Amino acid sequence: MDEQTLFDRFHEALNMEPRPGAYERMRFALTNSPVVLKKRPAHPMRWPKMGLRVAAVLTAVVILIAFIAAFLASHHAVVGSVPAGQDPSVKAYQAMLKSEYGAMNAATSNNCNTIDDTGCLAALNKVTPALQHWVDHLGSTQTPSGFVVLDGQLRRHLNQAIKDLTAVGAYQRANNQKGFDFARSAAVYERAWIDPATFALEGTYPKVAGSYQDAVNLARQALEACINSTPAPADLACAHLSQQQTCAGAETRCETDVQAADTWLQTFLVGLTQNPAPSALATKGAKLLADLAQADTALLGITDALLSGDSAKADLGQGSFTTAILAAGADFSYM
Amino acid sequence: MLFHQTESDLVRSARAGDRIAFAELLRPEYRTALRLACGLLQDIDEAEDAVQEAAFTAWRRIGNLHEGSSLRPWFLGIVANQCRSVKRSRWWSVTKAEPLEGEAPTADLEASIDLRRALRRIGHDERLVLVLRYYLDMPFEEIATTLGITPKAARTRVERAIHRLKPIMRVQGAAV
Repeated sequence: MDEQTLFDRFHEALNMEPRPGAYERMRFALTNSPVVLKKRPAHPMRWPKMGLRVAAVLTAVVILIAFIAAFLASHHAVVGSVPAGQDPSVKAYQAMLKSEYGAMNAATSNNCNTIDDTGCLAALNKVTPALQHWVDHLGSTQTPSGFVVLDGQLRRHLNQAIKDLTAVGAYQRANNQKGFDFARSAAVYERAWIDPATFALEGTYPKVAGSYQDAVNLARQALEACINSTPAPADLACAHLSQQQTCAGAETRCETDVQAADTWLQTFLVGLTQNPAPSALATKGAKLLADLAQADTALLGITDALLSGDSAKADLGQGSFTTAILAAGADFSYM
Repeated sequence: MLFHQTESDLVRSARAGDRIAFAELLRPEYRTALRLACGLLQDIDEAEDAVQEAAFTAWRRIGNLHEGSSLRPWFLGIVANQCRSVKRSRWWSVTKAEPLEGEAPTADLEASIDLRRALRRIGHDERLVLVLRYYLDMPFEEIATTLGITPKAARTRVERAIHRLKPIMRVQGAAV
């Protein structure tokens, strides 16, 4: 058997592709699990006790992963589309997104890694206008009806990215290491939010739920776990923030929680955008989406407050987040 | 890193504890990792689980990945080890020979099943080099990097694995 035949035979025999949402399920588990970086314990425990604890944590993680994977995999839809419907503006809107995303991506650079990076200012001057152009273009383009909520949040996150990047420059000029690190981390996070949202609106993002009801159930289970104070590891960030653990003096923890909760929320926003509500649930579905978006906006408010070192404003943001989460939780009782 | 996510940027952020950066780091490798796991386990559900477990392992060991070194062979090595563990833990299970999920019936289906069956009858290390070479289309240099051996040794292992596979296929009646 020659080499080419071997290649052909193996490809024929084993050819499999990831199912829709496979990477996202892994990403969700990875970014929302309690697994921590391996570090030497400060006070080593005796092995049997530590072994039990490790086993307990691992069991919890495995159960969580199995639950999420089972829930999503059992509804493995194959289409990565968004509810384009018959709206003629959808194609133009998606083409605009693709173009603006490409322009933004081309304007990025590998600078501003450290506060001493001399290329930072030039990098900021390149990428910030690209983001602003994108925001402006969104403002002058008709948003298809099914995309309004996610589009609105995308604009907010783009604007937040501009603020973060502006703060990066300001903190560098002020030689403020802590502020620089915080702003840079916030900017990098925004990129991690903007990408999936853009791809979802473009229709190229894998489906996170197989149907509208699946998307609702996914959000319902997570929100109820957060609100009822029995959160699974994936819901902990929401629980921390909604239980009013103040950000004052715990800015780093707060920032981590905000980013984890925002990734958590984004999954529901994307799922509900990809699977539009049936007409019988249109009003209730719109209310749920609006409340989830409100929670996302509140998280942006907390980031903004932390960026400017205003912990009182951050606490207010937590209040808004809690209100929105409770409102979203109440929406499920009508669905 | 400023809105620009090169691998080394993401490695740096991940090493500093940024899980989102780590997840982004794995994004371009996910398909290859899953195909590797599918090739080794021949079960899409187990393959997804194995890659996810491997991702957790990789996250815990991110400190071992040095800046400047490539993520891909490091992560694929972890995936391969995870698949080895899965195989060990299910040694008692009944191996399946039916078509893979989503597989369309073809004229070569029988031959494909024979190859999959034959792959299950050789050792993990032999199966691994064959999957890397003939399913993931890796050159010997990349196989060598993934396995931490020389390219010459990689070539020898592939040849040896083919040598092992052929008689099994022949016994099963498949043309090799």
